[in-house]
Amino acid sequence: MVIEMKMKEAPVLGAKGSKKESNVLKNAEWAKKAVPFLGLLVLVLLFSTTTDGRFLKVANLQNIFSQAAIVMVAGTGCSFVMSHNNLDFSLGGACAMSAVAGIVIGAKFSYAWMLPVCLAVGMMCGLVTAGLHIKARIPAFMAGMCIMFAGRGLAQGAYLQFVMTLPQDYKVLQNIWFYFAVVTIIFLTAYILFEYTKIGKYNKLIGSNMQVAKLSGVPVNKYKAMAFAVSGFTVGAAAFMSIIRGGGVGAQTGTNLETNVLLALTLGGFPLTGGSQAKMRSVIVGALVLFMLNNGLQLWGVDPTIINVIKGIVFLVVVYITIDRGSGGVMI
Amino acid sequence: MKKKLAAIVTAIAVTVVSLAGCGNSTESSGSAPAAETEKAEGETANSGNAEEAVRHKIGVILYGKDDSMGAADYAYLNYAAEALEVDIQWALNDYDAESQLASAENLVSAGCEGLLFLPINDNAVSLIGDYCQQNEIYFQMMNRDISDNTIKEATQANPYYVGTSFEANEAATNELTNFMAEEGRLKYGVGKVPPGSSLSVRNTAFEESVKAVNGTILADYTAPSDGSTQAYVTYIENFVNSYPEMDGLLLSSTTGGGGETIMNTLQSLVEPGAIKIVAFDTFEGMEEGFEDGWLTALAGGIAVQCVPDFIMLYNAVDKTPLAEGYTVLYQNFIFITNLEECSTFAQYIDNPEHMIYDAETIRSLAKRYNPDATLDDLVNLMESYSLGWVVDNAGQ
Repeated sequence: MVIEMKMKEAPVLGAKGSKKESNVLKNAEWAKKAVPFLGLLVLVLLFSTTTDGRFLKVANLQNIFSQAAIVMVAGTGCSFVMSHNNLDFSLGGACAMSAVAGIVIGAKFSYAWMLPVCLAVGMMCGLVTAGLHIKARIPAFMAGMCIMFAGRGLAQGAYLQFVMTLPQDYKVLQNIWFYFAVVTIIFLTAYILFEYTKIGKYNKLIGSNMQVAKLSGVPVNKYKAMAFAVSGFTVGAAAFMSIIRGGGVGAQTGTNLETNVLLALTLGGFPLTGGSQAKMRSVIVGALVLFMLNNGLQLWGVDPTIINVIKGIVFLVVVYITIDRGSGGVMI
Repeated sequence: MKKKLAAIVTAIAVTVVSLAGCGNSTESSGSAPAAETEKAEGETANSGNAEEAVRHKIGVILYGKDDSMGAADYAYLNYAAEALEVDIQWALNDYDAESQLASAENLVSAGCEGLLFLPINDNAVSLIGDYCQQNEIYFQMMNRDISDNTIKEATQANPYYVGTSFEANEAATNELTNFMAEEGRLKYGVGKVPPGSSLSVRNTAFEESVKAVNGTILADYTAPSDGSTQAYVTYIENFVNSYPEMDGLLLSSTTGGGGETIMNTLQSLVEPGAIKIVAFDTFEGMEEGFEDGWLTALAGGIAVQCVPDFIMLYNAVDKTPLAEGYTVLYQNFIFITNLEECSTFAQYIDNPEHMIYDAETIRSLAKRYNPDATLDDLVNLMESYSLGWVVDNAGQ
């Protein structure tokens, strides 16, 4: 059984490797794994103790969750693509494309179509990226970029032609429970797919060693395509959330989504090269770190022009600590 | 598997319980009318009692401070905050409604009691307005009207909406077209703003004003909504190549580097004066533009309207509003038609070092410092705004 071939990444010790050395390495690995959680904890403690209690107010925690929800949803699907050692740069463009299609078709026919259209277009974008990557043999990040530019162009063009405002009836969804429900449903479903089905396990195996996967009889292309389809589906869901959260669609809808998702996954400790160490929880931890940092710095009253610099430095530090220099990926 | 799933379900349950703790935050929006009553009570209590009053904190959401208008807003508002002894917290570089909402949320969490913002579009007004109502936070817009009637009505019904201010766009558009027609230039290219933009009234106003002077619009473009300036180069090249008879450009907006790019592109394509520009906003290099005959007239100087907006919001936050309900203020444009006016403008208006409204004037419009301050005083001050007034005021 292929599934049983777990890529154990325990240190390879020489014949004379002592138990002590093994423990040291295990501890070092454990410490690296703990970095994202420790980072989250440090941020919570830091901002809790330095913002006169503002950070821990439930309303503020709700804000952080609402702000992070779209990245969490898009990130869960993107994890499948990253787990087989690819980067999906189509997220922002696909989100824009799905959102425009959803709201325009919704306005023309019925807003009940908005969600299904968003999901369908998102999935279609994922499959197009997969097709370009697998059939045309274009590197996935380049195929994703094509979708990104097309989506951006479509959103900007549509913004010039249509007024894409969410109807008042749908504003009832602009609350924490809606975001929480979507994140929970998407995350739980994705978690089960990722950890307990062939889609997740094979994609991680492909990320660990594609040759081994092929030799073991894994239909690599099929499972890569499925990963892109899952990613597209969650981008569609993120697009729907984006319409709700943004009160409609604008020229900049979806902008920076791919960057934020990549940042969140990396901050959460997701290995950039995919593989068996990939964990779905990384996206939740990373998105919370990303948006807590932003929120906390604003609570501190940090000059907004400096906030991005600080975020960049934190990102670098986290990557420096967690990177697995042997494989070029980030350890979880 | 069971253990992991159980852990996840537990985590979700804990989160639900945590979030439920604040489940009533939305419901509290229903108490808004009561807050209006409290406002009236507070008015009596706080009037003329500057020493005992608390120091307020106001959040400002602005697209940036890198261009002429953004830099002016940043400087004027920091100065006004200092004059009124208010803490000001900035959120910059938000280019979509969702980001502006996130900034509003963070600013309110940071303790801001009022929000002043330049909305990126109508959706942003709706989102931030709803959020402010839920959290009982006063909000004031600057430089923008609301295009969408549904959003406009909802905003005007919001008890925490202090008001907005915007420039007299239609009158200024007519004036700009007339400047061009007076030079005998009647064949135009028009630079429009996106139709969803709150400045889109300028698009239709230019069309009407061109008809009024019996001119012709040969071609138009719509400004890129992503803030990039490279598209302007292509637009102008296409205008010049496709319509050699074109003799004037009517531009609805030249912020964010658009004006500089368009003028530079023209300089590389045609002889000076072959095609001249009238435009909203001012930009770097306008002195050379007038000197070398590229510019006919510019309408600008409206960045200062953020100060009356700030004063309106301050009074509301201080529970001593200058008006019951919301207020719409109108800001005069200043027209620049020659090099001399351009120099005066650069010295006194397009100069963040020079404060058009001094601290004494600003304080005189805040009831905390001047219990007799009225909305009429503020309106009169705005109406007197002109190039001559600014120069005279600076000399005093």
